[in-house]
Amino acid sequence: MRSVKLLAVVVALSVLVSVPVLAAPVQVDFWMGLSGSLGEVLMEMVNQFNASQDEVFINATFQGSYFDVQQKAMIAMAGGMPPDMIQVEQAQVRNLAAMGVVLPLSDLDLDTSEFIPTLIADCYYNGELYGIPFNRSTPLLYYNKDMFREAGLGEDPPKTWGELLEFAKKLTKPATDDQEATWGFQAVPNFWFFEAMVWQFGGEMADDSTGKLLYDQPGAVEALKFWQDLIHVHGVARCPAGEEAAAHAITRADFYAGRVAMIFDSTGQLTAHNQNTPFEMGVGFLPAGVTHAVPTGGGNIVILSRNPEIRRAAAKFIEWFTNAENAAVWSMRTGYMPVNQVAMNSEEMQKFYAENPNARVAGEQLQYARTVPAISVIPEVVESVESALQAVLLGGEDPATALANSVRESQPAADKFFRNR
Amino acid sequence: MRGKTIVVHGLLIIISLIIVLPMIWMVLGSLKTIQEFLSKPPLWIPPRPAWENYVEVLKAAPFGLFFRNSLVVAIVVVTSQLLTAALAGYALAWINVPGRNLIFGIILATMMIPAHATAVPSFLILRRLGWIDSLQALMVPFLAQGFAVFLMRQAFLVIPVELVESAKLDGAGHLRILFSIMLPLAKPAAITVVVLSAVATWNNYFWPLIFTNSTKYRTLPLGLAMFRSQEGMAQWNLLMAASMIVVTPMMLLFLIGQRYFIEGISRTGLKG
Repeated sequence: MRSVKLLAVVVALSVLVSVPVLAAPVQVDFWMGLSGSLGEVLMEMVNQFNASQDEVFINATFQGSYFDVQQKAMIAMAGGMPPDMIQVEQAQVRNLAAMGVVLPLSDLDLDTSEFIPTLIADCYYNGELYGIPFNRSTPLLYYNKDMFREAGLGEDPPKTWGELLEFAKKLTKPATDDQEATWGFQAVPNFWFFEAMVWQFGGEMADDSTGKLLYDQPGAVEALKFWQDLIHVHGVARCPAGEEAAAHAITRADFYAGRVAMIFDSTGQLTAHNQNTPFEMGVGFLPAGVTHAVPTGGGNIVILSRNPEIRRAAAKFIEWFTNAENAAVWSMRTGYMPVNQVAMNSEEMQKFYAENPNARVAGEQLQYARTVPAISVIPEVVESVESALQAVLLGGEDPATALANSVRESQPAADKFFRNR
Repeated sequence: MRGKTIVVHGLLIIISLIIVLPMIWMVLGSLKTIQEFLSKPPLWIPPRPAWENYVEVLKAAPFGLFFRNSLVVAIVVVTSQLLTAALAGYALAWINVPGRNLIFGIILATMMIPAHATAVPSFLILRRLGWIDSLQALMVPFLAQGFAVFLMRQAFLVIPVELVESAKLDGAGHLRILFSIMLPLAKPAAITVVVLSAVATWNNYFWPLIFTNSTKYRTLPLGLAMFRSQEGMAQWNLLMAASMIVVTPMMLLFLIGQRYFIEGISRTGLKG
């Protein structure tokens, strides 16, 4: 009798204890690299996901830039306490895979059929999927339609670099008593825009299987020479000086104030530009050289956790975030591209595009998108390229010499990177 | 002679202006709207000071909380570094323990190792202690510091031996000698330790980035990073206002301590 009672108590207790344990959602620690208005939208969507079901709880926290997040995650991983999921700079997925930091996602049985192939391409390494495209951007040509009309150019953006030069000549005017000087084109001398130009002029940044740097070859030199001539020979473009964030700020301020008619910037800026331009703004493809080509940018998401239950929980969130409905919401609210094909073609998205034709351009330009080479995440290479760009565009150095020096200087870093990964 | 003074002063004034210019830019920038901030040619004095930037900053991120965390960490770390440096500096200067120079050498050697190199081992230790994502993780690893020990030892060494001898004759123990004679005499060095360690702790970005995950344990430098958006538009005017909140306490501390600070550096530099 007593033992029956005891048993009853034990059973009752264990039910009491185990029920809440079973019902508790699986927590996934997610380190995000977006702050400001983009971070707020992401956080809102995470909260919405958490509220929508009770099996998974995403604990999202802002941990600094992509670089900060990755550095922190690497140390935490070495220390045995990695976060479950992180947002990384898109080109990093293959490197993390090569280093064995992330495992293939094959255990999670994800349906990848709806992803835009060009955007998911850089999540593959040796044929296996290691990450998922999350917030993806691409560079665009933003232009001031009011200035175009005034210069008698019509509504459309230039289609080629040759046309861009012709347009820029008409858009450049010296200062008068009651008006500031205006000029045609301005772009921040950064790796991303240069990479685009090199491809457009038929060159390559690097051989992606060996890490051999190729941006001192003819196509690349021609591209940089063209950019330099726009500034120094034709006098129709300017190059913003200073550290990258400052150079972006200067370029945007010049564009908003109607001092420059055409700029390069990320799709991620579309919403900000819409809000800040007091004129009619147009958006176009980057101009073509011998061919059309653009890189993509932004972030992918990777799962660091080895725990099957947490991996499945993380995958649930990723599936939710990238499904047709939510990928469309994310894109409409931020300007990032919808990573999901079905989202891109959805009724809602098409309606949004009809109302905001500028938002459509990034998606259409994707047909020319190329996968960025792995060397674009090596800090030494990026720094060396960017200081060569500054020396040429600001300092008037010879493009061929500057690029050859940069390749010589940063090839060892690229070699080391490929050896170690 | 007079002409030379004018030239020297003129040069110094120009150099000082160059040094102080970014500070002035920050103060004025924190009171501009974003349009005024980005205007060209640059606008120095905003027509109407935008005090609402500060309100915006305090609303955008829990700066009150970050401020309190920074303050707690700084007070604990600074107090402890001063205390440990005084104790160690005294022992290394005045007590004849075997291997004293070797110990001093090892302490000096710790100054050469950058924080990044110790991050992973520290992570392992702090994880064992269950202190990842806590304020302890920001304080305990910094309770003693090699450079502070060095500064205090050098300052104690130049104190006349007669003072120590006579205190001993009067029956004073080591602690009494340290706190009643040595520390008051080594005030410039002690204040130097306080200022240096306060600034280093206050500005530390790397350590809190690695060892805290949740907002409630974050310090001010990480709060500042929230205003620099990835791919998004940096809100420069808010960034300036936030920077003002972050640097003001350190500027005050430096102003108060500067007389001793300069003395402390020059003295320990000369002797020892």
